[in-house]
Amino acid sequence: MTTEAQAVPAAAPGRDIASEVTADRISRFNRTERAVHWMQATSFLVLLATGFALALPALESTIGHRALLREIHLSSAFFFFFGPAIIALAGDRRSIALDVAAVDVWDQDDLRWLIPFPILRLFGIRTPPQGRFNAGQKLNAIFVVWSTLTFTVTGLILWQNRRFPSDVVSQSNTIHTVLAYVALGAFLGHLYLATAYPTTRHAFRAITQGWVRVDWAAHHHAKWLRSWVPAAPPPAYDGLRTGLQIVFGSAAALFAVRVFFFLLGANTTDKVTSWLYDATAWPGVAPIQPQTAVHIVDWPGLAYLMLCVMAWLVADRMRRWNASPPTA
Amino acid sequence: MDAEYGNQRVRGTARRPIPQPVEKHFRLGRAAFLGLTGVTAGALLFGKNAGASLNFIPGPASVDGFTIYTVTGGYPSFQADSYRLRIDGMVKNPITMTIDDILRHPAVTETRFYQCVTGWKVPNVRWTGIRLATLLDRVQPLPGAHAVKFYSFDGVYTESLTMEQARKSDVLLGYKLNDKPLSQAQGAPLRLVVPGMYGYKFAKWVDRVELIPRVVDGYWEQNGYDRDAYIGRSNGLTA
Repeated sequence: MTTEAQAVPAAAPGRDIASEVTADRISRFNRTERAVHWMQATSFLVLLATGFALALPALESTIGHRALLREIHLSSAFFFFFGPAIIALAGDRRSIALDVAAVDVWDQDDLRWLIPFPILRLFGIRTPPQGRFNAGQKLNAIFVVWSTLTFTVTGLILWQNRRFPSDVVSQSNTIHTVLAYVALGAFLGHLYLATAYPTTRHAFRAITQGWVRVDWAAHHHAKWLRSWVPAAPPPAYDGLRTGLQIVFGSAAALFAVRVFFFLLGANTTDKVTSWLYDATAWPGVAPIQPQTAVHIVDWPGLAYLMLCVMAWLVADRMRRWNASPPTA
Repeated sequence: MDAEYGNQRVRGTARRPIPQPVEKHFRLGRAAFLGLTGVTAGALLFGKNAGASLNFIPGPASVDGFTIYTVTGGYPSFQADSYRLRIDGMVKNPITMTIDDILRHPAVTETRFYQCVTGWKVPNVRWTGIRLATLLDRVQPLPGAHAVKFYSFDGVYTESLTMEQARKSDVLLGYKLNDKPLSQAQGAPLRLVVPGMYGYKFAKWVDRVELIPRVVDGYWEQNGYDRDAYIGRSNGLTA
């Protein structure tokens, strides 16, 4: 047995410590964290590719097919915005909450980390030890959340441009375009550090397989390693609960968009909008007339939205049944 | 070591501790996020002149302020001597015109801003062309013809206007843009010009005008755009 494994309390029935701590590796990102990352990464790449194909004249003139690219772009946006949120809430949401807290809280070591290292050396300061995320990773996480929100809001305005003042549409266009370049730069930097830069590329293991080497963690995330604890095994039925919540959560998101689009008066000749209306054409929901309907409260859609949220909450009780101690 | 792991238990499934730096700490993450979001919201609502200062960015606004779009791959080309404009459908007198025939008609000039639905705008665009109403008079529409459909020789793009819209005196079939002949990318040799409407109504590469009973959805209307493309019409707001 290794020293790390011996440090863990023994009285934890059912806990498979050996799989989490071996001589040289510790767990860093669980399945929920990895799924959130890859859901966002995949949809981001599709959006980036189709977005540049739509916007850059050089690409546009050779690729063309605006209508198809536009449909792919708009439907990927649903997964980009709702996908990570649904997975985070349906999966191990406690771990996501802890990650958010880790990004939120900064100490003086984080601030010192941001000072370029030659200046630190000049004053004889070593690179300060970092927690679960270093200051650069924290900035990246803040950027990702902010840009997801900004891309979604400005993109929605560009999509439904006829329902917004033309100045706001122009400004959305500028923000969406500029942000695309900034996000491309951030993505390339992220990709380089994660897969190519020699001292940091080991971190890629954490987001593909979930673990990192202890010596790497000691070097890059010393304070995190000091407070690291192994995760408990997921309770039984947790997979079933997560699956149900992903289904109900996705349905709720679809109905939320539907209700919002009715209020906005989204044009029903739009293919993505009509796909959305078709997907939510559940029993009792009025069929959509092929014309623009402005400012209608879609009561059946709202009722189904509530129903999906309630089903989600019922599925959530499974966690507590499982967590409650057996009655004697 | 037991205590260090043991007292960090939290309710739920994960057992990772909430980060609690021993040093002085700040809730900088939420501050940065809220600050960025606030600045963005301000730029979105009030950043009217910010866009102009960012024109150096390579991207959409490219050719004289226009973004060039095509719905097929590439721009279609034409032969000047074999090109014909057909005007047919519900008319008494269908006609076919060469480029010289078109140029023989009096040239009309309209100067107006050009607004795209995707948000960009080009001020003071000067279009020169032949008035559509002149051509409609020549072909003599039948009584049942209440709309005009335009075909692009890219083989895909179509647009249509109501007869009332098409007869407005500023609606042209344009062959010059800012006093220069239309480029291939801008729709040479002939492009529909409908001042006051969004750019997707300005069908490029027009080679056929058909008179039809009622307005039908054009290419972008079938893909989600509004049929009535006057700027500021459907949202109750003015451009």
